[in-house]
Parts: sequence; structure tokens; C-alpha cells
Amino acid sequence: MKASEFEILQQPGLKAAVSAAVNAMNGGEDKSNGAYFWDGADIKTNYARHFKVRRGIKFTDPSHNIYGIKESTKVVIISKTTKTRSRTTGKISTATEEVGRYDHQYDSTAAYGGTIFWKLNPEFLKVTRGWEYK
Amino acid sequence: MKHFFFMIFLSALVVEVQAKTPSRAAIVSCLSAQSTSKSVKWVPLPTEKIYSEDDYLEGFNAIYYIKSGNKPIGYAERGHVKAVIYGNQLFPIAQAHALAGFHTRPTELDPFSADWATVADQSGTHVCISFPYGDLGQSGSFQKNRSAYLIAIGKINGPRILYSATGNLDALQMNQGEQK
Repeated sequence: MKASEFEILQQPGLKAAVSAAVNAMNGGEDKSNGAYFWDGADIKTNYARHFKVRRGIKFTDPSHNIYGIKESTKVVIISKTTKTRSRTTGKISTATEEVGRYDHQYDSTAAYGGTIFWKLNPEFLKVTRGWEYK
Repeated sequence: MKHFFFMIFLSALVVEVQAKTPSRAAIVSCLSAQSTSKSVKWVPLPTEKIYSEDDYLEGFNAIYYIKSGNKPIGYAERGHVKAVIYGNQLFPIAQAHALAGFHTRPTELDPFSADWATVADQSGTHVCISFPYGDLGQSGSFQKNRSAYLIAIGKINGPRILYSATGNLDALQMNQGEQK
């Protein structure tokens, strides 16, 4: 279904969508503040079982919490086991050392209308050596 | 005395059973990361402590593993070859058996965005690794698209098999409802 220019101007949602698309095409300001992910009302209605809530969410600004939901955090400890072979005896010994910890995976970056935008928590990325977009 | 030997025989049967293909209800629960049927028990595995280890086994680097009881369960890589760790065995993902009735190609498994759990019903108990469908699968309604790997746990008779499945949760649960 195609909307005419007149119809676009009449509907705030369509107008905002077109304006955002034009902004992006022109290399304008990133209004999501670096987000890669988003959520709608489902994060409230399906809060207990929501996949992002289970991974851990944090609001970097109270204005992003448009659904009035709780942050979800849980400390995860990452450790690395290293094997070392003794030069004298040839025996292999192992040592396990903590490399870091995080308590949530997603940080909010912005909220518009009914949508919350997210990016991965830098601390989570650092300890898991992950990539921003996955 | 006969009764005693019969009891030993029976307990051997209980401990070592033929691995069954996971039931459809178990697979849907696994993909959904929750029990979606009364007959299935979905239980999350503890993921508060995560381990990694270079040259873990057969040249694979263990990128992520947890300890459940005495058994490590996790994910390993050797170059482009990726595998699921269960105990002291590696199960290459490329050789996973696609489960009938589900989409066959899971996307790349990111162990940190996966739900690690067990699913149990009359088809047995399986480790269940359920994860979003690619990067887009972490946003909005795309989160309804999930992939999973399942592997039988406990002592089984015969080789252990890694299974895979992919599906849209809404479509699968609607289907499951119709089949009841």
C-alpha cells in the first residue's frame, strides 16, 4: 500500500518515519545514539520471559524507561583456564583465573514513541571480547 | 536371589536407555526457552560462572562452557569448525541432525546470547541450547524466531546425536495448540 505525500503529512507516525529515513539517508545525527537493537510494548507484557530481560537490561537514562519496567541484572563471572606443561617433569598443570564480570548485556540508548533502543553493555563486550552488533 | 538379579537387570535398563529423538513438544519448549506444554519440564542451567580454555580438546578452543554437575557443557571453535561441548566430547555443529518439521538452518550460535537449559519429557532429557536467529533476531518481534541445538544427556545406549531446529515461536505454538 502506498501513501500519498498528503497522507504522510496528515499522519504523525508516517511523517516521523519519513523524516527519520531522510535524516539517515543524508548522514544526519544518529537519533538512536548508537543502538543496534530495539523493543516495543512486548518487553512489558512479556517481561518475565523476555529474552533481553533474561540477558540483563539497564536504563542509562530514566527517560528511556517508557514502560516503567524494572532493570534486570545478574552478576556473571568469566574465567579462563590455562594449561602449562612443566619443562622439567612434562606434567600439565591447569590454572583458572577470573578475566572479568558483567551484570547485564543491554544498555538503553534512546526511546521514541513506543520503542526502546539498546546497544550492548561495553563492560559485557570487553569481558566477552564480543562485537557490538551481536 | 532371582528377585535380586531381576532388580539389577531392571535398574540397568533404567540407567542405560536408547537415546530417542526429542519430541515436538520438547523441541518447541527448547526453542521458546520455557515449558510450553505440561508434559515438558524446561530447567535453566546455571550460567553465573562461565569458563573458557584454549586447546581444550582436539585442538578446539572452548569459547564458553559451564559446569553442570561434573560435566562441562558449552561451545568450542577450531578455526571455522564450531562444536557443542558435552562432557569430554565435541559435536560439530555442521553435522547436527536437522529435526523433521522444523526449519533446518540455525544461524551462528553466540553462546552468550543463548539460553542454556535442559528439557525433559517422555522422549528423554536433553541439553537445550536456544538462541536468537542472527543479529536481527535480538529486536522486536524478530525475537520470536529462534534456533536450538539439543543433545541427549545421561547414559545412553548408542551414539549421542546433536540435533538442530529453527522456527517462529508464534507459528510453532499455534501449531502445537492445533495438534492437542
